[in-house]
Amino acid sequence: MTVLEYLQPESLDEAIALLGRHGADLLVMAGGTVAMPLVNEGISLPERVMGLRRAGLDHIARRDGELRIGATATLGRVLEAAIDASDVPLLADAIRSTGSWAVRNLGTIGGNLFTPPPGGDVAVALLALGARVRLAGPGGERDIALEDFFTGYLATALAPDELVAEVIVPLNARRAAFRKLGRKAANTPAVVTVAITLRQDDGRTHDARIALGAVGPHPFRATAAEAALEGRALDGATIEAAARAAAEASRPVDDPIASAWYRRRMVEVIVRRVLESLA
Amino acid sequence: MRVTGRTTIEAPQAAVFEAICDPAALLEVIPGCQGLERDGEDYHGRIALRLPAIVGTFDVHVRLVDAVTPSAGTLRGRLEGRIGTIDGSATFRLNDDDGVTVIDYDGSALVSGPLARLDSRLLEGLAESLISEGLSRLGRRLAAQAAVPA
Amino acid sequence: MTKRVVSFRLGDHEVDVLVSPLTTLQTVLRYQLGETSVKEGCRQGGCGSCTVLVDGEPTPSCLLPVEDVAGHRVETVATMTPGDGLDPVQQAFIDHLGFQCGYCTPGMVVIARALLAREPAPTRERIAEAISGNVCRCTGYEPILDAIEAAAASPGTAGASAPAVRGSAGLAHEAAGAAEATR
Repeated sequence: MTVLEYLQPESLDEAIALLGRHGADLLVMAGGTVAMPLVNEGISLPERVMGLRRAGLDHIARRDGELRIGATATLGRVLEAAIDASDVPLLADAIRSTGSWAVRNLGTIGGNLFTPPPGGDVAVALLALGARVRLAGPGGERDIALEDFFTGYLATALAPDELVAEVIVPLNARRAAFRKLGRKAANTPAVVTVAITLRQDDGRTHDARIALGAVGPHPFRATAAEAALEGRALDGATIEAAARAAAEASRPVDDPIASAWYRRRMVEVIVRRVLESLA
Repeated sequence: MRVTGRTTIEAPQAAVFEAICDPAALLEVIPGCQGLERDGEDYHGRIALRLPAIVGTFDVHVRLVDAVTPSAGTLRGRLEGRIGTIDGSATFRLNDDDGVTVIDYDGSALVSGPLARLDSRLLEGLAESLISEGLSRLGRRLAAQAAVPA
Repeated sequence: MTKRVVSFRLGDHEVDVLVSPLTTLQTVLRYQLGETSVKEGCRQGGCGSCTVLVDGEPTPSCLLPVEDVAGHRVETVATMTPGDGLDPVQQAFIDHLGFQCGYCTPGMVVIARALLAREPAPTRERIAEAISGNVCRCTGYEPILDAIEAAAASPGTAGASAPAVRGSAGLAHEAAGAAEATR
């Protein structure tokens, strides 16, 4: 069971062309932190693999009040940029909680969107930040809001002939906080991941984005919990209502990391703590 | 692994049953289906699995048994590929509910080969997701057909 | 399936290896080049025993196709060991009983040197964060933290593989953990 070919396109166009030519049998890989463990274990047996490391998709740039991050920019480099920037501490916190130093030097921001639950901690932060993804295919490019990118369990809006080219993060001065509960303090999959951003005007909360990970088929926004905050002060009762709504919106499953019962309990606890930290 | 569920399709029961027996319809609605033919009660074809880190194509051999038009049947068969083999059967039952169709399905399968090393919950979650996507597509296809004047 | 030649720098030497497609750097280092200081543990990126430096950056060699290091520099604990003895980090591991079975040690030493090249005087918490991707089953980690702290304090610990200074890349800056542990 050997790999026949490892393709290393040197541009996005070349990558799209190779995807078009080889289609369904091609395993597309960025950092390899999701694919290579499965290949090493003999579970994934691709005949052809395409690595995107050289396709020139690793830029990190600011433009027009947005952070434009190439899909194959490593989490390590994005962390550096986010820390330097200091206006996306949420992104920095999420990356810091993911993997380990060495794994962050391989894992990419685009790849994190495809990590099966309970993974995808950076995706949770990106959801709370209102990020969008740029998808590129033979017909051109299209942008899609991150919440519309996730369509189901292990399913995304990516068409079979498309690749994720870029993640775009609007930069604005919203209050933000992130917390990931794991079984250890580091190098651990999530029991539950919570990322929240919001605006406050005269003590009233507006436009909250409450993103949850590891408690559903994919990272998602708890819109009922967001609505519970709208126009209100972040007092105990409001926080409690939002936390409960977030728990109700969750659809956790049992896995080797934690039981569904525990995850649902912890959604409420962690959402409450994060909101309290923003109050 | 075991997968059970219930979905509602906004189409008459007869149309839904007909689609299940029609390879051309299944070709369109089964995610990753690359070719499907019917020979009597036997379906043969290929399905491509396209996950982020696992790709593979399966040869499909499925037979429709115990069919009771237009309300029930069992699909029994095998999907075979480099990354594993799935042997199983799924029973479905259709009920009319005021013009829309309620589908109940109950399937179980034995997975062998490399795929069997994955947590069975992941495989079940994946199967549920593919089935529900397929049934949604079926619903859309039937709705689109109904919208076209005969 | 066509094999191809991949050329890269291992320490100070140029190497050329003939590989099947998608052979990992770990497999090439251990089994083709005899670099058994690069350990094989989980092959999932989770244990850290295969950690090497690629262009000065800690990298799990089990997840990296060797084709992706063509033209780059790879360092292992063996290539980083001075010709005439041990460096302060290695000596500190001996002095502070920073290993028992020794399986995690090459990965630990690689990470320690990479950390000290960027932060010559890290806090104990920072050290713990840096090694959080390296699993040890023997020591309980405290002797490893002692060793790295001592190495930091010892004269002559200027990481020989200090990269062009550009920050800590994949390593967090602030000590405040972003992840809580269940108690």
